[in-house]
Amino acid sequence: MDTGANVLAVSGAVVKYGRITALHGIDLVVGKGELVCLLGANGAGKSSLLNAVAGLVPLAEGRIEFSGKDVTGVSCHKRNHAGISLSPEGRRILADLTVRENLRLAAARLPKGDQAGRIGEMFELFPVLERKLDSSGGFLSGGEQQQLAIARALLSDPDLLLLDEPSLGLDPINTGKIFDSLGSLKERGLSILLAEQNVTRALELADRAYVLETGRVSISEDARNLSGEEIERAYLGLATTPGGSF
Amino acid sequence: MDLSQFAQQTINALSLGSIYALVAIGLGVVFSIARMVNFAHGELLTIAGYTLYGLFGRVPWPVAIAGAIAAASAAAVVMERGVFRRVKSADPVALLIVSFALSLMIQAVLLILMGGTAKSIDYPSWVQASFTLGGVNVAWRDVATCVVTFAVLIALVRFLKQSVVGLALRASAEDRDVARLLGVDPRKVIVAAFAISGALAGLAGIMWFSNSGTVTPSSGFEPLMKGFIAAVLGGLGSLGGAVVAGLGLGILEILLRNVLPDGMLGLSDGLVFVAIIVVLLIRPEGLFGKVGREV
Repeated sequence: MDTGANVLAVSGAVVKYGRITALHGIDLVVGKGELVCLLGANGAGKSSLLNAVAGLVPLAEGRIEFSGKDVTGVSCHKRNHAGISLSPEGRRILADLTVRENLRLAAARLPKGDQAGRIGEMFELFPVLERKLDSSGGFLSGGEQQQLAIARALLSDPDLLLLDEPSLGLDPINTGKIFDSLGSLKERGLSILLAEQNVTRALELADRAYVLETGRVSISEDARNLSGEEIERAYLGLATTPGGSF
Repeated sequence: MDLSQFAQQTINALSLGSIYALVAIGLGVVFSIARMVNFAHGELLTIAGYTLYGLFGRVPWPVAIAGAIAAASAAAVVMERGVFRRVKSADPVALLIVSFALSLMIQAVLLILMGGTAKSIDYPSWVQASFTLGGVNVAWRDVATCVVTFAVLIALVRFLKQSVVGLALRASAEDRDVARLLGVDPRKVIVAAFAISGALAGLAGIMWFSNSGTVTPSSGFEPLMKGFIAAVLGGLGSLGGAVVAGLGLGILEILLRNVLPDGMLGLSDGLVFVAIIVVLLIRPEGLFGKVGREV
Protein backbone atom coordinates (compact mmCIF):
# COMPACT_ATOMS: atom_id res chain seq x y z
CA MET A 1 0.00 0.00 0.00
CA ASP A 2 1.47 3.35 -1.02
CA THR A 3 0.94 5.68 1.90
CA GLY A 4 3.07 8.56 0.67
CA ALA A 5 0.21 10.87 -0.37
CA ASN A 6 -2.20 9.63 2.24
CA VAL A 7 -3.17 11.50 5.35
CA LEU A 8 -4.33 8.26 6.96
CA ALA A 9 -3.30 4.68 6.30
CA VAL A 10 -4.77 1.89 8.40
CA SER A 11 -3.41 -1.60 7.83
CA GLY A 12 -4.52 -4.89 9.35
CA ALA A 13 -6.47 -3.16 12.12
CA VAL A 14 -7.94 -5.56 14.67
CA VAL A 15 -10.03 -4.23 17.56
CA LYS A 16 -11.24 -6.46 20.36
CA TYR A 17 -13.58 -5.81 23.26
CA GLY A 18 -12.78 -8.66 25.59
CA ARG A 19 -13.56 -11.85 23.66
CA ILE A 20 -15.50 -10.04 20.96
CA THR A 21 -13.59 -9.00 17.87
CA ALA A 22 -15.09 -5.84 16.36
CA LEU A 23 -12.60 -5.32 13.52
CA HIS A 24 -10.91 -8.19 11.67
CA GLY A 25 -7.87 -6.73 9.93
CA ILE A 26 -9.16 -3.58 8.25
CA ASP A 27 -7.10 -1.84 5.55
CA LEU A 28 -8.12 1.72 4.69
CA VAL A 29 -6.57 4.91 3.35
CA VAL A 30 -7.66 8.54 3.22
CA GLY A 31 -5.85 10.77 0.77
CA LYS A 32 -5.12 14.46 1.28
CA GLY A 33 -8.30 16.48 0.70
CA GLU A 34 -10.41 13.37 0.23
CA LEU A 35 -13.78 12.70 1.76
CA VAL A 36 -13.99 8.97 2.38
CA CYS A 37 -17.21 7.42 3.50
CA LEU A 38 -17.67 4.40 5.80
CA LEU A 39 -20.94 2.62 5.18
CA GLY A 40 -22.44 -0.39 6.85
CA ALA A 41 -25.23 -1.62 9.04
CA ASN A 42 -25.30 -1.05 12.80
CA GLY A 43 -22.56 -3.11 14.44
CA ALA A 44 -20.51 -3.34 11.25
CA GLY A 45 -17.53 -1.72 12.99
CA LYS A 46 -17.67 1.87 11.70
CA SER A 47 -17.49 3.49 15.14
CA SER A 48 -14.84 1.05 16.33
CA LEU A 49 -12.68 1.98 13.35
CA LEU A 50 -13.10 5.73 13.93
CA ASN A 51 -12.46 5.34 17.65
CA ALA A 52 -9.33 3.32 16.91
CA VAL A 53 -8.03 5.99 14.53
CA ALA A 54 -8.74 8.69 17.15
CA GLY A 55 -7.00 6.63 19.84
CA LEU A 56 -10.02 6.00 22.04
CA VAL A 57 -9.69 2.24 21.66
CA PRO A 58 -6.39 0.38 21.21
CA LEU A 59 -5.55 -1.88 18.28
CA ALA A 60 -5.02 -5.52 19.19
CA GLU A 61 -3.13 -5.89 15.91
CA GLY A 62 -2.30 -3.68 12.95
CA ARG A 63 -0.92 -0.24 12.36
CA ILE A 64 -2.20 3.31 11.94
CA GLU A 65 -0.12 5.87 10.06
CA PHE A 66 -1.02 9.54 10.08
CA SER A 67 0.79 11.83 7.63
CA GLY A 68 3.39 9.12 7.17
CA LYS A 69 4.08 8.65 10.90
CA ASP A 70 3.17 5.59 12.94
CA VAL A 71 0.66 6.70 15.59
CA THR A 72 -0.52 3.22 16.62
CA GLY A 73 0.71 3.56 20.20
CA VAL A 74 0.13 7.31 20.53
CA SER A 75 -2.42 8.38 23.15
CA CYS A 76 -5.72 9.97 22.15
CA HIS A 77 -4.94 13.54 23.26
CA LYS A 78 -1.59 13.47 21.47
CA ARG A 79 -3.28 12.33 18.25
CA ASN A 80 -5.53 15.38 18.63
CA HIS A 81 -2.45 17.57 19.01
CA ALA A 82 -0.98 15.91 15.93
CA GLY A 83 -4.04 16.80 13.82
CA ILE A 84 -6.63 14.01 14.14
CA SER A 85 -10.01 15.16 15.42
CA LEU A 86 -13.12 13.07 16.04
CA SER A 87 -16.72 14.21 16.36
CA PRO A 88 -18.04 11.14 18.18
CA GLU A 89 -21.27 9.23 17.71
CA GLY A 90 -24.15 10.63 19.75
CA ARG A 91 -22.52 14.09 19.72
CA ARG A 92 -21.39 13.75 23.36
CA ILE A 93 -21.60 17.45 24.04
CA LEU A 94 -20.28 18.54 27.41
CA ALA A 95 -23.75 19.32 28.72
CA ASP A 96 -22.69 21.22 31.83
CA LEU A 97 -20.38 23.53 29.89
CA THR A 98 -21.79 26.43 27.90
CA VAL A 99 -21.30 26.64 24.15
CA ARG A 100 -18.63 29.29 24.78
CA GLU A 101 -16.82 26.98 27.24
CA ASN A 102 -17.05 23.99 24.87
CA LEU A 103 -15.50 26.06 22.09
CA ARG A 104 -12.88 27.68 24.33
CA LEU A 105 -11.63 24.33 25.56
CA ALA A 106 -11.49 22.93 22.04
CA ALA A 107 -9.47 25.95 20.84
CA ALA A 108 -7.18 26.01 23.86
CA ARG A 109 -4.17 24.55 22.07
CA LEU A 110 -4.16 27.14 19.31
CA PRO A 111 -1.91 30.19 19.78
CA LYS A 112 -3.79 32.74 21.91
CA GLY A 113 -3.92 35.28 19.09
CA ASP A 114 -5.56 32.78 16.73
CA GLN A 115 -8.28 31.48 19.05
CA ALA A 116 -10.89 34.23 18.61
CA GLY A 117 -10.44 34.24 14.82
CA ARG A 118 -10.81 30.49 14.61
CA ILE A 119 -13.94 30.53 16.78
CA GLY A 120 -15.26 33.31 14.51
CA GLU A 121 -14.76 30.99 11.52
CA MET A 122 -16.94 28.43 13.28
CA PHE A 123 -19.67 31.06 13.68
CA GLU A 124 -19.57 31.61 9.91
CA LEU A 125 -19.97 27.89 9.35
CA PHE A 126 -22.55 27.40 12.14
CA PRO A 127 -24.20 30.80 12.85
CA VAL A 128 -26.56 29.36 15.48
CA LEU A 129 -23.65 28.80 17.85
CA GLU A 130 -22.95 32.54 18.12
CA ARG A 131 -26.55 33.14 19.17
CA LYS A 132 -26.38 30.38 21.82
CA LEU A 133 -22.96 31.16 23.26
CA ASP A 134 -24.09 31.26 26.88
CA SER A 135 -26.48 28.31 26.69
CA SER A 136 -25.44 25.08 28.36
CA GLY A 137 -24.61 22.36 25.86
CA GLY A 138 -27.33 20.21 27.37
CA PHE A 139 -30.01 22.75 26.46
CA LEU A 140 -29.26 22.82 22.73
CA SER A 141 -31.44 21.00 20.22
CA GLY A 142 -30.08 17.88 18.51
CA GLY A 143 -29.13 19.81 15.39
CA GLU A 144 -27.43 22.55 17.39
CA GLN A 145 -25.54 19.98 19.42
CA GLN A 146 -24.32 18.31 16.24
CA GLN A 147 -23.12 21.64 14.88
CA LEU A 148 -21.33 22.29 18.16
CA ALA A 149 -19.76 18.82 18.07
CA ILE A 150 -18.39 19.41 14.56
CA ALA A 151 -17.25 22.97 15.40
CA ARG A 152 -15.48 21.61 18.47
CA ALA A 153 -13.72 18.97 16.39
CA LEU A 154 -12.68 21.58 13.82
CA LEU A 155 -11.33 24.09 16.34
CA SER A 156 -8.08 22.24 16.86
CA ASP A 157 -7.40 22.94 13.16
CA PRO A 158 -7.10 19.24 12.24
CA ASP A 159 -5.60 17.70 9.13
CA LEU A 160 -8.03 14.79 9.38
CA LEU A 161 -11.62 15.10 10.56
CA LEU A 162 -13.39 11.94 11.69
CA LEU A 163 -17.17 12.17 11.81
CA ASP A 164 -19.27 9.44 13.36
CA GLU A 165 -22.93 9.51 12.24
CA PRO A 166 -23.34 13.30 12.13
CA SER A 167 -26.96 13.06 10.91
CA LEU A 168 -28.06 10.52 13.51
CA GLY A 169 -31.35 11.57 15.12
CA LEU A 170 -31.64 14.79 13.11
CA ASP A 171 -34.64 15.95 11.09
CA PRO A 172 -34.21 16.46 7.31
CA ILE A 173 -33.64 20.23 7.64
CA ASN A 174 -30.82 19.83 10.17
CA THR A 175 -29.41 16.88 8.22
CA GLY A 176 -29.29 19.15 5.17
CA LYS A 177 -27.45 21.84 7.14
CA ILE A 178 -24.86 19.36 8.38
CA PHE A 179 -24.20 17.98 4.90
CA ASP A 180 -23.97 21.52 3.47
CA SER A 181 -21.31 22.25 6.10
CA LEU A 182 -19.45 19.07 5.18
CA GLY A 183 -19.52 20.19 1.56
CA SER A 184 -17.91 23.50 2.56
CA LEU A 185 -15.24 21.72 4.56
CA LYS A 186 -14.46 19.43 1.65
CA GLU A 187 -14.13 22.42 -0.67
CA ARG A 188 -11.60 23.89 1.75
CA GLY A 189 -9.45 20.79 1.24
CA LEU A 190 -9.94 19.12 4.62
CA SER A 191 -9.46 15.34 4.67
CA ILE A 192 -12.57 13.70 6.10
CA LEU A 193 -13.44 10.14 7.11
CA LEU A 194 -17.20 9.98 7.52
CA ALA A 195 -19.25 7.14 8.99
CA GLU A 196 -22.84 7.67 7.98
CA GLN A 197 -26.15 5.82 7.75
CA ASN A 198 -27.61 8.35 5.30
CA VAL A 199 -26.06 6.59 2.31
CA THR A 200 -27.47 8.78 -0.44
CA ARG A 201 -26.30 12.07 1.07
CA ALA A 202 -22.94 10.62 2.07
CA LEU A 203 -22.20 9.25 -1.41
CA GLU A 204 -23.12 12.59 -3.00
CA LEU A 205 -20.20 14.16 -1.14
CA ALA A 206 -17.73 11.29 -0.92
CA ASP A 207 -14.81 10.60 -3.23
CA ARG A 208 -14.56 7.00 -2.14
CA ALA A 209 -16.43 4.62 0.10
CA TYR A 210 -15.75 1.54 2.16
CA VAL A 211 -18.59 -0.75 3.07
CA LEU A 212 -18.02 -2.63 6.33
CA GLU A 213 -19.71 -5.87 7.19
CA THR A 214 -19.21 -7.53 10.60
CA GLY A 215 -15.84 -5.88 11.09
CA ARG A 216 -14.48 -6.53 7.59
CA VAL A 217 -14.28 -4.40 4.45
CA SER A 218 -16.70 -6.01 2.00
CA ILE A 219 -16.57 -3.30 -0.68
CA SER A 220 -14.08 -0.53 -1.35
CA GLU A 221 -14.95 1.55 -4.36
CA ASP A 222 -15.08 5.03 -5.90
CA ALA A 223 -18.27 6.58 -4.55
CA ARG A 224 -19.68 7.25 -7.99
CA ASN A 225 -19.25 3.58 -8.97
CA LEU A 226 -21.17 2.19 -6.01
CA SER A 227 -24.60 0.98 -6.99
CA GLY A 228 -27.60 1.01 -4.69
CA GLU A 229 -27.92 -2.73 -5.14
CA GLU A 230 -24.35 -3.36 -3.95
CA ILE A 231 -24.90 -1.27 -0.86
CA GLU A 232 -28.22 -2.90 -0.14
CA ARG A 233 -26.61 -6.33 -0.35
CA ALA A 234 -23.85 -5.21 2.01
CA TYR A 235 -26.35 -3.89 4.53
CA LEU A 236 -28.18 -7.19 4.37
CA GLY A 237 -24.92 -9.09 4.83
CA LEU A 238 -24.97 -10.51 1.31
CA ALA A 239 -21.95 -8.76 -0.22
CA THR A 240 -19.22 -11.06 -1.43
CA THR A 241 -16.78 -8.59 -2.96
CA PRO A 242 -13.45 -8.99 -1.18
CA GLY A 243 -11.91 -5.85 0.35
CA GLY A 244 -9.70 -4.15 -2.18
CA SER A 245 -7.29 -1.27 -2.19
CA PHE A 246 -7.24 1.77 -4.40
CA MET B 1 -30.16 30.55 75.06
CA ASP B 2 -30.35 34.35 74.71
CA LEU B 3 -29.87 36.27 71.46
CA SER B 4 -26.17 36.98 71.95
CA GLN B 5 -25.48 33.33 72.74
CA PHE B 6 -27.46 32.35 69.67
CA ALA B 7 -25.41 34.74 67.51
CA GLN B 8 -22.19 33.39 68.98
CA GLN B 9 -23.16 29.79 68.33
CA THR B 10 -24.23 30.68 64.80
CA ILE B 11 -20.76 32.07 64.10
CA ASN B 12 -19.20 28.94 65.63
CA ALA B 13 -21.43 26.76 63.45
CA LEU B 14 -20.59 28.64 60.26
CA SER B 15 -16.89 28.47 61.08
CA LEU B 16 -16.98 24.72 61.75
CA GLY B 17 -19.21 24.13 58.73
CA SER B 18 -16.80 26.09 56.51
CA ILE B 19 -14.00 23.68 57.41
CA TYR B 20 -16.20 20.67 56.66
CA ALA B 21 -17.15 22.28 53.34
CA LEU B 22 -13.50 22.77 52.37
CA VAL B 23 -12.71 19.14 53.17
CA ALA B 24 -15.81 18.00 51.25
CA ILE B 25 -14.89 20.08 48.19
CA GLY B 26 -11.34 18.68 48.27
CA LEU B 27 -12.68 15.12 48.34
CA GLY B 28 -15.21 15.97 45.62
CA VAL B 29 -12.64 17.45 43.22
CA VAL B 30 -10.63 14.21 43.28
CA PHE B 31 -13.75 12.04 43.13
CA SER B 32 -15.05 13.88 40.05
CA ILE B 33 -11.87 13.26 38.11
CA ALA B 34 -10.43 10.01 39.49
CA ARG B 35 -13.73 8.38 40.54
CA MET B 36 -12.29 7.51 43.96
CA VAL B 37 -12.71 8.73 47.51
CA ASN B 38 -9.29 9.49 48.93
CA PHE B 39 -9.42 8.50 52.58
CA ALA B 40 -5.82 9.67 52.97
CA HIS B 41 -7.17 13.22 52.51
CA GLY B 42 -7.27 13.65 56.30
CA GLU B 43 -3.53 13.14 56.47
CA LEU B 44 -3.09 16.15 54.17
CA LEU B 45 -4.68 18.25 56.92
CA THR B 46 -2.33 16.63 59.42
CA ILE B 47 0.68 17.41 57.22
CA ALA B 48 -0.45 21.05 57.08
CA GLY B 49 -0.69 21.00 60.88
CA TYR B 50 2.83 19.67 61.35
CA THR B 51 4.14 22.18 58.80
CA LEU B 52 2.59 24.98 60.84
CA TYR B 53 4.09 23.46 63.99
CA GLY B 54 7.51 23.61 62.35
CA LEU B 55 7.19 27.04 60.77
CA PHE B 56 5.20 29.28 63.14
CA GLY B 57 7.62 31.38 65.16
CA ARG B 58 10.47 30.73 62.72
CA VAL B 59 9.13 32.54 59.65
CA PRO B 60 6.50 35.30 59.23
CA TRP B 61 3.01 33.82 59.67
CA PRO B 62 1.88 34.40 56.04
CA VAL B 63 4.90 32.40 54.89
CA ALA B 64 4.05 29.63 57.36
CA ILE B 65 0.47 29.50 56.07
CA ALA B 66 1.61 29.45 52.44
CA GLY B 67 4.09 26.72 53.39
CA ALA B 68 1.37 24.59 55.00
CA ILE B 69 -0.87 24.88 51.93
CA ALA B 70 2.04 24.11 49.61
CA ALA B 71 3.10 21.11 51.72
CA ALA B 72 -0.40 19.60 51.69
CA SER B 73 -0.76 20.23 47.97
CA ALA B 74 2.64 18.71 47.22
CA ALA B 75 1.84 15.70 49.43
CA ALA B 76 -1.40 15.15 47.49
CA VAL B 77 0.49 15.19 44.18
CA VAL B 78 3.05 12.73 45.59
CA MET B 79 0.17 10.46 46.68
CA GLU B 80 -1.21 10.51 43.15
CA ARG B 81 2.07 9.99 41.35
CA GLY B 82 3.51 7.55 43.86
CA VAL B 83 0.48 5.42 44.64
CA PHE B 84 -2.86 6.12 42.96
CA ARG B 85 -1.50 6.41 39.41
CA ARG B 86 -0.06 2.90 39.74
CA VAL B 87 -3.41 1.40 40.70
CA LYS B 88 -5.71 3.62 38.63
CA SER B 89 -7.18 0.68 36.72
CA ALA B 90 -8.14 -1.14 39.92
CA ASP B 91 -11.80 -1.46 40.83
CA PRO B 92 -13.31 1.16 43.17
CA VAL B 93 -13.22 -1.10 46.22
CA ALA B 94 -9.51 -1.78 45.74
CA LEU B 95 -8.87 1.97 45.36
CA LEU B 96 -10.76 2.58 48.58
CA ILE B 97 -8.64 0.01 50.41
CA VAL B 98 -5.46 1.52 48.94
CA SER B 99 -6.44 4.97 50.19
CA PHE B 100 -7.18 3.57 53.67
CA ALA B 101 -3.81 1.80 53.67
CA LEU B 102 -2.07 4.99 52.58
CA SER B 103 -3.81 6.89 55.37
CA LEU B 104 -2.59 4.39 57.99
CA MET B 105 0.90 4.34 56.49
CA ILE B 106 1.24 8.12 56.64
CA GLN B 107 -0.01 8.09 60.23
CA ALA B 108 2.61 5.46 61.10
CA VAL B 109 5.40 7.47 59.44
CA LEU B 110 4.30 10.62 61.28
CA LEU B 111 4.20 8.66 64.53
CA ILE B 112 7.81 7.55 63.99
CA LEU B 113 9.01 11.00 62.91
CA MET B 114 7.03 13.25 65.26
CA GLY B 115 6.09 10.99 68.15
CA GLY B 116 2.65 10.27 69.55
CA THR B 117 2.35 13.26 71.87
CA ALA B 118 0.29 16.22 70.74
CA LYS B 119 2.40 19.08 69.36
CA SER B 120 1.20 22.53 70.27
CA ILE B 121 0.97 24.84 67.28
CA ASP B 122 2.03 28.37 68.12
CA TYR B 123 -0.52 30.37 66.11
CA PRO B 124 -0.10 34.17 66.00
CA SER B 125 -1.81 35.82 68.94
CA TRP B 126 -4.43 37.57 66.77
CA VAL B 127 -5.87 34.20 65.75
CA GLN B 128 -6.92 33.46 69.32
CA ALA B 129 -8.02 37.06 69.99
CA SER B 130 -11.62 38.16 69.82
CA PHE B 131 -13.69 41.32 69.64
CA THR B 132 -17.16 42.27 70.83
CA LEU B 133 -19.87 43.24 68.38
CA GLY B 134 -23.31 44.17 69.72
CA GLY B 135 -22.67 42.22 72.88
CA VAL B 136 -21.50 39.18 70.94
CA ASN B 137 -17.97 37.92 71.48
CA VAL B 138 -16.50 37.03 68.07
CA ALA B 139 -13.18 35.22 67.65
CA TRP B 140 -10.98 36.50 64.83
CA ARG B 141 -10.30 32.85 64.04
CA ASP B 142 -13.97 32.30 63.22
CA VAL B 143 -14.19 35.45 61.13
CA ALA B 144 -11.06 34.49 59.20
CA THR B 145 -12.38 30.95 58.63
CA CYS B 146 -15.69 32.15 57.18
CA VAL B 147 -14.18 34.96 55.09
CA VAL B 148 -11.35 32.83 53.71
CA THR B 149 -13.69 29.94 52.87
CA PHE B 150 -16.07 32.31 51.07
CA ALA B 151 -13.18 33.91 49.16
CA VAL B 152 -11.73 30.51 48.24
CA LEU B 153 -15.10 29.34 46.96
CA ILE B 154 -15.45 32.39 44.71
CA ALA B 155 -11.89 31.94 43.47
CA LEU B 156 -12.48 28.23 42.84
CA VAL B 157 -15.68 28.84 40.87
CA ARG B 158 -13.95 31.52 38.76
CA PHE B 159 -11.01 29.18 38.20
CA LEU B 160 -13.28 26.33 37.09
CA LYS B 161 -15.28 28.58 34.76
CA GLN B 162 -12.62 30.85 33.31
CA SER B 163 -9.28 29.05 33.18
CA VAL B 164 -8.42 26.41 30.61
CA VAL B 165 -7.29 24.06 33.39
CA GLY B 166 -10.64 24.60 35.13
CA LEU B 167 -12.54 23.87 31.92
CA ALA B 168 -10.41 20.77 31.38
CA LEU B 169 -11.22 19.61 34.92
CA ARG B 170 -14.96 20.08 34.37
CA ALA B 171 -14.82 18.43 30.96
CA SER B 172 -12.90 15.44 32.34
CA ALA B 173 -15.34 15.14 35.23
CA GLU B 174 -18.25 14.99 32.78
CA ASP B 175 -16.82 12.84 30.00
CA ARG B 176 -13.20 11.79 30.17
CA ASP B 177 -13.11 10.43 26.61
CA VAL B 178 -14.48 13.63 25.10
CA ALA B 179 -11.94 15.64 27.09
CA ARG B 180 -9.18 13.45 25.60
CA LEU B 181 -10.65 13.96 22.13
CA LEU B 182 -10.36 17.71 22.70
CA GLY B 183 -6.66 17.32 23.47
CA VAL B 184 -6.85 17.30 27.27
CA ASP B 185 -4.05 15.26 28.83
CA PRO B 186 -5.78 13.04 31.44
CA ARG B 187 -2.63 12.69 33.53
CA LYS B 188 -2.21 16.44 33.89
CA VAL B 189 -5.87 16.83 34.81
CA ILE B 190 -5.56 14.23 37.57
CA VAL B 191 -2.41 15.90 38.93
CA ALA B 192 -4.21 19.27 38.88
CA ALA B 193 -7.18 17.76 40.73
CA PHE B 194 -4.95 16.32 43.45
CA ALA B 195 -2.96 19.57 43.73
CA ILE B 196 -6.16 21.60 44.19
CA SER B 197 -7.59 19.03 46.58
CA GLY B 198 -4.36 19.14 48.62
CA ALA B 199 -4.35 22.94 48.74
CA LEU B 200 -7.95 22.92 50.01
CA ALA B 201 -6.98 20.31 52.61
CA GLY B 202 -4.04 22.50 53.69
CA LEU B 203 -6.34 25.46 54.12
CA ALA B 204 -8.87 23.36 56.02
CA GLY B 205 -6.04 22.05 58.23
CA ILE B 206 -4.86 25.57 59.08
CA MET B 207 -8.39 26.43 60.21
CA TRP B 208 -9.04 23.14 61.99
CA PHE B 209 -5.87 23.29 64.07
CA SER B 210 -6.46 26.95 64.95
CA ASN B 211 -9.40 25.56 66.91
CA SER B 212 -7.75 22.59 68.58
CA GLY B 213 -4.28 24.18 68.89
CA THR B 214 -2.49 20.83 68.73
CA VAL B 215 -1.66 18.20 66.13
CA THR B 216 -1.11 14.43 66.43
CA PRO B 217 -0.53 11.84 63.68
CA SER B 218 -4.23 10.88 63.71
CA SER B 219 -5.63 14.45 63.92
CA GLY B 220 -6.89 14.38 60.33
CA PHE B 221 -9.39 11.59 60.93
CA GLU B 222 -12.22 13.61 62.49
CA PRO B 223 -12.30 16.43 59.89
CA LEU B 224 -11.95 13.80 57.16
CA MET B 225 -14.99 11.88 58.39
CA LYS B 226 -17.08 15.02 58.78
CA GLY B 227 -15.96 16.31 55.39
CA PHE B 228 -16.70 12.93 53.82
CA ILE B 229 -20.18 12.95 55.32
CA ALA B 230 -20.73 16.48 53.98
CA ALA B 231 -19.47 15.39 50.56
CA VAL B 232 -21.84 12.39 50.43
CA LEU B 233 -24.72 14.40 51.86
CA GLY B 234 -24.24 17.19 49.32
CA GLY B 235 -23.75 14.75 46.44
CA LEU B 236 -20.16 13.63 45.82
CA GLY B 237 -18.46 16.07 43.47
CA SER B 238 -21.07 18.81 43.76
CA LEU B 239 -19.38 22.04 44.83
CA GLY B 240 -22.62 23.72 45.90
CA GLY B 241 -23.77 20.55 47.63
CA ALA B 242 -20.52 20.33 49.61
CA VAL B 243 -20.94 23.90 50.85
CA VAL B 244 -24.58 23.51 51.85
CA ALA B 245 -24.02 20.12 53.48
CA GLY B 246 -20.81 21.25 55.21
CA LEU B 247 -22.49 24.31 56.70
CA GLY B 248 -25.58 22.27 57.58
CA LEU B 249 -23.45 19.68 59.34
CA GLY B 250 -21.64 22.40 61.31
CA ILE B 251 -24.92 24.01 62.33
CA LEU B 252 -26.44 20.67 63.36
CA GLU B 253 -23.37 19.73 65.40
CA ILE B 254 -23.24 23.05 67.28
CA LEU B 255 -27.01 23.01 67.78
CA LEU B 256 -26.92 19.55 69.35
CA ARG B 257 -24.01 20.51 71.60
CA ASN B 258 -26.14 23.37 72.94
CA VAL B 259 -29.52 21.73 73.30
CA LEU B 260 -28.52 18.30 74.59
CA PRO B 261 -28.30 17.89 78.37
CA ASP B 262 -24.75 17.42 79.68
CA GLY B 263 -25.24 13.71 80.19
CA MET B 264 -26.21 13.18 76.56
CA LEU B 265 -23.47 15.24 74.86
CA GLY B 266 -21.68 12.06 73.87
CA LEU B 267 -24.65 11.23 71.69
CA SER B 268 -24.36 14.35 69.52
CA ASP B 269 -22.26 12.68 66.79
CA GLY B 270 -24.61 9.69 66.82
CA LEU B 271 -27.63 11.92 66.36
CA VAL B 272 -25.87 13.74 63.50
CA PHE B 273 -25.35 10.38 61.80
CA VAL B 274 -29.01 9.44 62.32
CA ALA B 275 -30.08 12.71 60.64
CA ILE B 276 -27.73 11.98 57.74
CA ILE B 277 -29.03 8.44 57.32
CA VAL B 278 -32.57 9.83 57.15
CA VAL B 279 -31.56 12.34 54.45
CA LEU B 280 -29.75 9.67 52.44
CA LEU B 281 -32.71 7.29 52.70
CA ILE B 282 -34.84 9.99 51.08
CA ARG B 283 -32.18 11.14 48.58
CA PRO B 284 -29.54 8.40 48.15
CA GLU B 285 -27.67 10.52 45.59
CA GLY B 286 -27.25 13.33 48.15
CA LEU B 287 -28.92 16.73 48.29
CA PHE B 288 -27.43 18.01 45.03
CA GLY B 289 -26.14 14.77 43.55
CA LYS B 290 -26.85 13.30 40.16
CA VAL B 291 -25.47 10.48 38.08
CA GLY B 292 -22.10 11.41 36.55
CA ARG B 293 -21.75 14.41 38.84
CA GLU B 294 -19.56 17.30 37.68
CA VAL B 295 -17.02 19.33 39.65
